[in-house]
Amino acid sequence: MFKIRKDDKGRIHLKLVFYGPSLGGKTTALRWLYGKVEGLQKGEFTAIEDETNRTLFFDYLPLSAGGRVLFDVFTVAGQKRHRHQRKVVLQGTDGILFVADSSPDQRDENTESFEELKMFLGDALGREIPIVVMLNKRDLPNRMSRDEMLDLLGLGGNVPIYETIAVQGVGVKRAFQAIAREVILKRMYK
Amino acid sequence: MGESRENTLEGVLNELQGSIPEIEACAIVSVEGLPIVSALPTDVDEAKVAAMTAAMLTLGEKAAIELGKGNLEQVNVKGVDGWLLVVQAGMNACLTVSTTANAKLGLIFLDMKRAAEKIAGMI
Repeated sequence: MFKIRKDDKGRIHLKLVFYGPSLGGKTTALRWLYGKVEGLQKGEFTAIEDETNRTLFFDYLPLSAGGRVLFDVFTVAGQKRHRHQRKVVLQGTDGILFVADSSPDQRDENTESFEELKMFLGDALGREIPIVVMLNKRDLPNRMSRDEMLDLLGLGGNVPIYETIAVQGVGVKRAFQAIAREVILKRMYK
Repeated sequence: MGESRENTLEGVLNELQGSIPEIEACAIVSVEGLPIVSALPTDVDEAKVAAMTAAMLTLGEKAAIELGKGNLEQVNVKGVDGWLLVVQAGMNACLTVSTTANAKLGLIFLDMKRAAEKIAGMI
């Protein structure tokens, strides 16, 4: 069902998508990976955004681990009106990094976004398509508790969870490495 | 002038393996689970070692986080016939070592730590 994609140089391409509610930190996390993380070869950062720098369609960053494998990393536009674009960006994805927002006032947005993701990917989510969850904005004084957020999203013990502060890069690289590893295990070592 | 032997990743693995006879195989694997360099017997598949390292990291990291032990530093697995040891080698790689059952772990961890520090400086 899932075919390994290779380019003309024989490099394997794997597609990762940052998904989650609007203003949850998806683009911030990707920009932090682009700007601050060493040990990953990076290509050009591409952003399609509006005049307020909010993602309009997607952000895209190719990241290479070891030269032989290239991760094509996308974020989606989180606003509700971009539902169709999100569905398009999800096509052919090999792994999902779900960025949940720890603000209590984003409770419903987190749930809606996660439900939408489950609807788009169906049973493949968590099985054929691995998922790692970032609980972002953990520096907020009034943040929801970890257990509250996991209950909210209906997550049990099978999904790797990382607490992150995307603006400072805390936990971002580990979460990215975790989803990259899950995808490599699923796609390359079957 | 070429790099001296101990200044290459292969050199680090060979030095480690040469210093402790109980080490049967060793490999440097990226934290994403891709093989970088290995010193393995001919009957051991490099891809399998990388995959198993990735699986151990995934489970180890999850256990460490869920049980409040902080960021993962190492994973140790003991079988009847020996040990599998994985330690962090910087932020981007891991050092995986396979030993016989009678290996002296203290000595091995000491040499693995030195090797990991060298690897971290090279990757």
